[in-house]
Amino acid sequence: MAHLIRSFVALRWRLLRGSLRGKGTEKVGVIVSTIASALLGVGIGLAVAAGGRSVADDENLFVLFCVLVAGAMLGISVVAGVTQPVDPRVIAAEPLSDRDRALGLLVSAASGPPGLSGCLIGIGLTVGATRGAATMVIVVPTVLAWLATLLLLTRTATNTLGLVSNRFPRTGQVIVGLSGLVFYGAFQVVPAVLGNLDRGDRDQIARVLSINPVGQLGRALGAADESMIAAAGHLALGVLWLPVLAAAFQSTTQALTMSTRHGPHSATSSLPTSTALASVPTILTTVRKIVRRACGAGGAGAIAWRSILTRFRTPRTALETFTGAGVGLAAVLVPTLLRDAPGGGAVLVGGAIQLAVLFMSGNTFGSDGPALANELVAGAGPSMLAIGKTRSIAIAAAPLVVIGPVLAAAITQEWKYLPAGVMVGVGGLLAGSGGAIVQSTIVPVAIPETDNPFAAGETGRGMMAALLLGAVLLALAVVTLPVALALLWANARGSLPLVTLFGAGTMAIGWAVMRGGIAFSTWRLTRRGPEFITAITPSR
Amino acid sequence: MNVPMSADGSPLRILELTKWFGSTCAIDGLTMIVPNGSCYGLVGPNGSGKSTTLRSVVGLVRPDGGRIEVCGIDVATDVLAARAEVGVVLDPLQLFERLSAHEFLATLGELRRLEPAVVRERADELFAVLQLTGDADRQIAGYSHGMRKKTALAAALLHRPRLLLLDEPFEGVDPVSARTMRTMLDRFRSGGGTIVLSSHVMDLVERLCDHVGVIHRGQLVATGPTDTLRNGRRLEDAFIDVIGETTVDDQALAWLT
Repeated sequence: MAHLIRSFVALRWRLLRGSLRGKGTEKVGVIVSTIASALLGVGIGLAVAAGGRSVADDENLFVLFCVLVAGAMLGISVVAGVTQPVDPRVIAAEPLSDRDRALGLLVSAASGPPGLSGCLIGIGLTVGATRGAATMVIVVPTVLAWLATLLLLTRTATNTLGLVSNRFPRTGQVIVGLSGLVFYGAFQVVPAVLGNLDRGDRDQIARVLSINPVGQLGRALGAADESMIAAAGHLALGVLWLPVLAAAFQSTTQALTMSTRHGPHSATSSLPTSTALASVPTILTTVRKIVRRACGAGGAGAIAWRSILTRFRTPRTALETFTGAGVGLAAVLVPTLLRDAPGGGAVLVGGAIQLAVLFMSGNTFGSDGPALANELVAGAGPSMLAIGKTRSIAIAAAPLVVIGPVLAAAITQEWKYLPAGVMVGVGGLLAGSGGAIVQSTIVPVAIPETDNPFAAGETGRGMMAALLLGAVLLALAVVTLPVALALLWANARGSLPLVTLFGAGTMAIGWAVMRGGIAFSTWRLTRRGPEFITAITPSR
Repeated sequence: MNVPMSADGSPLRILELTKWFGSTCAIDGLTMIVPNGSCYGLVGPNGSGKSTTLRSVVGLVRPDGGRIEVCGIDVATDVLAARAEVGVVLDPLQLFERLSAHEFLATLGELRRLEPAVVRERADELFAVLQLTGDADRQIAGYSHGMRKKTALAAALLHRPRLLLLDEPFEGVDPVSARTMRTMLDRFRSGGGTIVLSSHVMDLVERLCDHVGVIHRGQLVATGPTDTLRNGRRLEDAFIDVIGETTVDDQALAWLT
């Protein structure tokens, strides 16, 4: 076993070293993600250590912490998509037993940056729960059991998702999409809800959450200083399911290793193809016609239409579209609507969909590399490419212009602000489209077209794209600040005409931002065409 | 290479293999005996079941019926022992993109419990013969298709397997590299190894393989020594005779002329 563990740890570090030897952005990305993991681990570790030592009723704190962190990790592992540090299919034909392969994969998962983060949090939890050397007899195995639970839970979820995505791509896509919406929604709501609870409510929640193995581990940590026997009992209950989790991980790993697709087209079918379209309801046909018309004629229209078709037929991009929409809307609407009196401002904020647009389409070039290369070869110029892709971004996100403000108006019953909210939505859509085209032009992350559910863009490019997303959002905020302030001022005065007027102003600014984005993209594509094609072409 | 063999000395015996994918029968009672020391070419149209057959041999596809023996070992009961005797190059290739070729082979060597010094020595030799030495410390992600194929072949040979399974080994490989790979395969055979390869390239199969099996709709519809199967014709003609030719209407694509 020691040999096996050594081999997989070595493999993991070789892979990390390989990324560090890569191109500049990849190298930076690995370094940044390692530092981020360390900071996250230190931050959470210090918080739980301090909390554990200062809070009077630490048992409930540990129960809440253990369960919520496990839930969050599970959510992240599903939402982040099907990624594994080591693709089990590369070593599928090696003479390893199912148990050895599963153990090796767990070891490799635990020995990278997330493992570092987990270790630091574990140290923090140990420090927070230890009351004298004797309690460590319970605390240390409990923390180890909790870390093992986290590892097995997240990896099993990832395996299961990979399995479903591999065999039934559409189902996998729906699961990830819905999970993403739930996760990001919970991310917005749970902290706010927890912040509003009094101690009695929190104790009640902790009591409910402790009725599961992870909660039992939390109770073991809390009880360690009072009754070693009771703590040991909680620990025993908490580890009861680890063999079951281990077996589930092993069987899903084995199934994934042997998993095959049913037919050559199963990976790329989230919307019916044109030949199958005749049998689907007329409404879809009508939507299709409207969208095709909205894309426009000529080369740019053809690129826009093709982009929309492939976006919804490729599980990965279809998923990005739906989760991006959900994330963007949740980020904007939830904090606003959770206020005691959200008022008409919520309807206006409901139109601030630029975040959703950027989430949906911030990598519109990178996720479309081979198709774009074909279009360039077919005679599309940089301007045509930029316009076509921008149109496709705007059209894909257009429903949000209505959904956001209407949702907010329906909740707040402030219908009179709806026209202005929709105008703000149009402005946000245009500005977001301009921002997205700039972002994807500067840092396109080439996504491989492969049936490998573990395939992802190069390590580090994603981190760079995330940093750029922040920068683009900041730039958009600066550009739209005057009209946003004016809108808030008019809203505070309760002047509907002024609100409507400034709402129209956001459309003008959004239009200017979009045109600017297209111009920048065209300029950059003209100047750095070959490098751009290289950047958007997946290595495999 | 002291390994158990089946009674007839065949390193690979596939008996009545059946595999269904949903309602599609991919392999339909296929029986195939590969002679020891041969180079066995598995040819057939797209989707005929070649890759599924090869994947079944190393336990990557679970058959619905039938039996597979590798060097006398029943794959269903001891897949690990069977895999230990096999080197395999799958299509599509499965490689760790972020490793160099040297690191990739070192990893596989560790998993197969080979001594690091032995791995290094063999890897150096393999890379030298495959003309990869200059690139063996670069990341695989930056390799051309041919270099990736050669890396996969080196990985498959590293542990000196008894049986080599190659799924489309020469697809996308330039003629010079293909010749190098063929030389290497000849050397492998001269040491007593057996090769099963699937390919669409009839000329190559004709030149390289002394035995051929034609697989069609999951069944082995013809098999035997290459010369016997050819019967004085080109292998491609013999293949089309077995499979049946698809004719093109004279009037079709008139606009091209």
